[in-house]
Amino acid sequence: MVDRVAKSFDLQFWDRGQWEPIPVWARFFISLGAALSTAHLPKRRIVAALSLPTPSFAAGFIALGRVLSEPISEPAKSAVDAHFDKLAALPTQTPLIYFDGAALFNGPLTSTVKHSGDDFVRMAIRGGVCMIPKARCLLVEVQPESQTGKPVRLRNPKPFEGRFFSMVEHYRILCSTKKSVIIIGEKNRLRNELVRNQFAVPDGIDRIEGALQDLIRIAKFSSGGIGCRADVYSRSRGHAIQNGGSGTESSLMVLDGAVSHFRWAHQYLHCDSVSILSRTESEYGNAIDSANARYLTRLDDCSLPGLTGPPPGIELMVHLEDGL
Amino acid sequence: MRTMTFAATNEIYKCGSTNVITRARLSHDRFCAYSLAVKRLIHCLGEAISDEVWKPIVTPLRRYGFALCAAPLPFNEPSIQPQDIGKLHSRRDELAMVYPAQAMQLGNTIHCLEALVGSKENPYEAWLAEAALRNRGDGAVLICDSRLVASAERQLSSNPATRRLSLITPSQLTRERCFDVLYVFGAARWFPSFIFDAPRAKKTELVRYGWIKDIREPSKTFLSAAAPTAWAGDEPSEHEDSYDAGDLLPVVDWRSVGQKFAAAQLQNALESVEARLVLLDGDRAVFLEAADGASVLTIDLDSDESTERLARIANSEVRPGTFLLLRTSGGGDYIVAEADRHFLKGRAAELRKAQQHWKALLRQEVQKDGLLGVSLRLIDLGSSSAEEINVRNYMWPRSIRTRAPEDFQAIMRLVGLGENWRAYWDMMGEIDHAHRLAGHRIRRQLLHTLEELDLTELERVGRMELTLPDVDAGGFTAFRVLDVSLDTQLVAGHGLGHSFEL
Repeated sequence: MVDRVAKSFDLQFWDRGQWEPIPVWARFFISLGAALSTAHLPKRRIVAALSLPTPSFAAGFIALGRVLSEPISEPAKSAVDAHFDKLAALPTQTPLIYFDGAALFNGPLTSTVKHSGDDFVRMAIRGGVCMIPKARCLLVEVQPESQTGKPVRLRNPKPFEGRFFSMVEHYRILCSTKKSVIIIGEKNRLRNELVRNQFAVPDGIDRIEGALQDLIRIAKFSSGGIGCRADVYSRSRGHAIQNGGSGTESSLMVLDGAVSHFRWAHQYLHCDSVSILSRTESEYGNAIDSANARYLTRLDDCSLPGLTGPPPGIELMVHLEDGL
Repeated sequence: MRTMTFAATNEIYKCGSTNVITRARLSHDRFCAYSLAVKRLIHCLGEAISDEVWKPIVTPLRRYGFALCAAPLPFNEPSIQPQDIGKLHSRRDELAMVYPAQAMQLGNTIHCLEALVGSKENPYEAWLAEAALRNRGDGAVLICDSRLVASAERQLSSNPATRRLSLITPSQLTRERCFDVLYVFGAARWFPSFIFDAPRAKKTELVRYGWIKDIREPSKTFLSAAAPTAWAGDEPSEHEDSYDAGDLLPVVDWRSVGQKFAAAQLQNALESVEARLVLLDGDRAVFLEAADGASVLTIDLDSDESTERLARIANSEVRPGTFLLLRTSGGGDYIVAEADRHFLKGRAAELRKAQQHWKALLRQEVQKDGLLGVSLRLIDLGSSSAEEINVRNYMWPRSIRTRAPEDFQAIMRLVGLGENWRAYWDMMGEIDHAHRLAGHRIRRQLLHTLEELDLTELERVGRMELTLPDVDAGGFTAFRVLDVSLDTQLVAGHGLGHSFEL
């Protein structure tokens, strides 16, 4: 199990005046999200369906498991090219910040240059000039205006994030354009669950607090829109799902609710998907019939590595289909 | 909005893993005799039960029996009493010649009713008072019929032992609140399966009368899951003669009632539209236009912004659980009334006359040449959207003008108003603009009214009246949708959006 996923099992929630470890059902959802990453097969599609007593927090924790379990890779070349072009178009003296993997520096842009066939960003730092290779340009950002006039340390991970991601991983995430999870559901409810509910991780005798959004980084709920690893779409609107330039092939589609299931389960046939069906929904019975009908046409059953049976109140059905 | 905290969600999972269901059966000889007499009467009537002669007699008798089985009400509760017993005797005498056996059975039923209807006894309440003393903690009484909420609540509040209990209906148990104990009145099969499969209480106490036979259908589950455990169903009935819970439920064949209602209204096929029948809470129904683009006002209880609480959604999006906002008093079209009074003012009469004039001329053409003929002539005159369905729509009094001026010009030429088409186009534009302003004004008023209302009550009882004090639109009622017919049928255009009693 990825270390970050194991750490997430230590998350705590506030209940009746004290912090309590997250219960087994939440851990199951995290494990499911992580197991779907591990079990992913090329040219195959994993289709999972969950039957639950409430839709709350299921999509959030599945997304958390998915995001935490995925390797944080070097950014794509297309993203590097695009970011370099953006920096090259800036006027000289634009204040920049640069993270060299260990520390954060600030200073003005002097130019972009080609040297020995390689592109560089030139930035004035501490009285000298730093030549930053294009390959590392995603670690250079424009520094926003500071209210105090002092340089701003930008986008360092919050302490809560810092428990899960190293500085290097954090900056790789900021450079990434890939969305690991797409959730289609009730946007307002999801916002409440992911942004407003506080969790904590133990830190010695103290705790560090944060929200699931700090880790999942859903674009719709983020003000900057940089380094987002997931997105949320309303279940009710007709829309095309965007996923940067990377397509949705490697995204996990989380269809949160029967309405989302009916509307979207037969689209994006190249993605693994999970349908979350709450037994309180009026269309629950029809949604179960639909999931069962699909199961009957399966290529094979699918076992998810490292996933134990669901806890009481939760049912899970998983199968494999041909991917497109 | 469902502002669910993680702790509240955890409570739901705890309830699911610890919930215990207990069952109690009550007996009451006179009520049993009445219920079984009604059952025999229904059996004896056979298909004649749907005759107009018998329906008004049997329906209240069934409803009375069902209400007493479904809520903790005394036998003499005024709100559920069937009609005057003297009148029932008279009806029985009138029917005795034509339906001798059935009239005799009706006589038996009336006899049983007379023995019951004056009694203050309330076996359910007596049981509940004892159970509430036995169970500590947060308790709620669950009943399946929202029409019985008010009278049952009065009953609970009049007894010190039951006063602290909340009275709820099933839809409230889709939310986050959990209880220590839930008292469920009536047969399990009268409730949606999530009450038992996604429980919101640590303990569920089901209580019903002993002669009710209650077998719940197995819950839907995944094919790959282990075989579901059988509903620990019914022990053998202690009564030889029992009444199946499904038959006890007073079912209204709402689709056939709707069809009859639509047929009665439909006088002119040319002014008809394809519509879908929607069943509403409180034994009402409404026809909603089936065409693409047709929409209806709804209340979204899950919206987190008050401005989003009122939403216009496509009619095709309406599904069970949606709350429709329909105009239920004031007559006519509220947008028209509002637009005329506040925005068109002195121009209203002239503009409305012009609107009616060209529609009347178009209708004459359609009567003469038929829809297809007019459609073809409009195409010849330069219209690019003269499909028959659009021509039908143009004739409808509520439509104002076409989207494209060329289409409108073609219509004006067809009806002999070609020289004045621009003047008519502009006049219809004035109406269109006024309608939009009126729509915005009413929306503001509705949002203001909704902000001041406790919408949990709407969720509990399934309907709520809204009055807009500063708008001439009259009264609106929010209704919960219970079902939507899959088929469409032709109905009179003026009947759309107006709820009617089943």
